[in-house]
Amino acid sequence: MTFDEFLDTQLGSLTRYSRVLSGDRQSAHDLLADTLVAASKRWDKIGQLELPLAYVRRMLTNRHIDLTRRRRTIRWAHKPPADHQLPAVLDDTNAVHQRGFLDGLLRDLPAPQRAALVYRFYLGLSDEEIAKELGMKVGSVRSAISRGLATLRTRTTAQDIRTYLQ
Amino acid sequence: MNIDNELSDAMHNLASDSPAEAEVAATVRARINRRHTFRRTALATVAAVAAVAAIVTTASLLRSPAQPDQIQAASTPEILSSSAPVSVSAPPIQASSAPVTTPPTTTGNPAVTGTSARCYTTADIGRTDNHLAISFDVPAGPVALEICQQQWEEGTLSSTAPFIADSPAASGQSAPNLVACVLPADISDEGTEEVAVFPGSDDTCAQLNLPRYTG
Repeated sequence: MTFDEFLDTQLGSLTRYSRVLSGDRQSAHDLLADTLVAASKRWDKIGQLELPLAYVRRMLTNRHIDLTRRRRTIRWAHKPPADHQLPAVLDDTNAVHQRGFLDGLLRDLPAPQRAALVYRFYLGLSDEEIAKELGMKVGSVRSAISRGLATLRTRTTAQDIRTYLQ
Repeated sequence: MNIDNELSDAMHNLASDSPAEAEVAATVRARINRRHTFRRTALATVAAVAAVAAIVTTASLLRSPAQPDQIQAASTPEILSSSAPVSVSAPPIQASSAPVTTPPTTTGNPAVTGTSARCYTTADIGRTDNHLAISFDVPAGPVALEICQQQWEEGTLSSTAPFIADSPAASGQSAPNLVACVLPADISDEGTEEVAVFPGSDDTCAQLNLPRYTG
């Protein structure tokens, strides 16, 4: 498969994956473009793989984790941050609210936990498949998902669930 | 409460807000083309320089085929003497560069208005793995020290490798003495002056050749 053929067939799924993983559209664009340019330099090898999509997705994930590790966003206020207790507002723009709410929740997770949750709940992969694709132990994947979910649960209320995640 | 069942749908909603594929493809192809163009230009330049050098060398050899005396004369004492002015001219170069290396003031209060700051784990601005870059929703200067202290106390930062923890577990540790300096625009991520908080004492900023942030 040539690099152009790969772009033509896989760019859509990678774009959506990058968006869910990175937290906003601009970051998704930059992250994916950087990853694909890097992949193009080694395409003579990547193109020979059985699953080049999985390889590039792993490149993208690792790049995101590396970037996130050194850059964090903190919503600062001189009182406890209230962004996780958003008021329940149901209106025509609920999808926008939902995206902002979930982005905010996921952004505060350590990058490996966020990646594991995205692999599980967006890509629908099993623990074993995630471990294989990310080169992790199955136990580490289970731990990352479990801890990520536990953090999300502590930061959401039943009202949030009804308002933003349904 | 149970968010597991809703998480998948919510993530697919996030995916629907993804950037346009055409834009990403255009960016990638433009960058790859730029790289190829640069490579072609570089190769062409190298080839042209090599060709010119070969022509000049050949021409000089053809022009003076048998003048061993001149060649020998030029190859020994004149080169030595011609190198003398180079060493003589060295001091003025050093003198002219002296103002550049003069330490900046450490008592000023630079107006840092950006919304990002760095929490360093060691007093070293040469490394890339020893600091956490943080973006705020408000100007970073007045709150950087406090936030960095919080990162130390939560166990996110450590003075030993790997310096930054993915999952802070050792909360309750005390932060070292911290001091806020100002990174110049050419070092900062934002392209503007940025507050950098280091473990250290009052003279740490001066030792790093950075102004102290006193805002």
